[in-house]
Amino acid sequence: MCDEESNDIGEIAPDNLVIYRACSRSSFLTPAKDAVAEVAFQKDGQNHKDGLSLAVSVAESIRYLTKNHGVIRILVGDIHRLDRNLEVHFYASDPLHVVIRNLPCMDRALEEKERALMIAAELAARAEIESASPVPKPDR
Amino acid sequence: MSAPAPAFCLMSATETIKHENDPEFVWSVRIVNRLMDVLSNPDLYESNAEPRPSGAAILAAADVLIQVEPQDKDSVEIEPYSGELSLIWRAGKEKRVKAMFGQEKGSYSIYYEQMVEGRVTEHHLEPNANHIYLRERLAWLRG
Repeated sequence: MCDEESNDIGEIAPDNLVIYRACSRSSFLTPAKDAVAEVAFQKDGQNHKDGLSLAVSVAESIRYLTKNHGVIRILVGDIHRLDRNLEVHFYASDPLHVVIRNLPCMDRALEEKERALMIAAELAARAEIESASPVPKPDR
Repeated sequence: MSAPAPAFCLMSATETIKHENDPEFVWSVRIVNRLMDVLSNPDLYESNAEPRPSGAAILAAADVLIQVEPQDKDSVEIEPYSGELSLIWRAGKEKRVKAMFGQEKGSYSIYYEQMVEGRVTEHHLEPNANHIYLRERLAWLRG
């Protein structure tokens, strides 16, 4: 399993929290833009050393991106209830962002990649579209 | 942004030149052009630094698309991800077949899954895929 770093992992997030992920590529939504695509929940260990990061608000989800193609959302409880050993934690130093831990990686052994594909599909099935078009950053 | 490798040039150089009215040739050109169009879209990549699919991957995907049934040529989704190129077919929200081509020549795998009420109930990742296996999975997808 990935998640080779765990320096800044804080408390577990409550099940009733909705968390958001900006679409950093247009393929996070299906071509018809009517559903969340599996790739939105794929991750590589090389680029995500502590897990897959999401945010507690739309504004925070897009904050560090130069562009986005929309935003998706998912309920923390839906992730925990998958019963795939996934845990959503706040970052200890940044309570506006969370990280999904124990998500298998796409760039590891074959068995892990298969689990990554399978779990990404289950997460995508539970996720919903918050915005199917680019969300502008709020004026500061 | 760096453009994907020139797949069509590679294919033309190694194959007998066919007549432009040959249906097989026309299909080949259309498929390679479609792949190149999609893969040139910067919106499909997280950044300029993200690796692009290799020329070998594009050629392998084109070869697969040339051989599938016409309805499967039309319904395919083309998805780059971290240097890997995927061809995806779906049957509603229940079944998915995903052919993946890695950056290295000959890297061709197929994943399929069946989902029931949001839960994957059947899945397999075949690391040494070939056209016969893909044809079987696409028949399963339509079944």
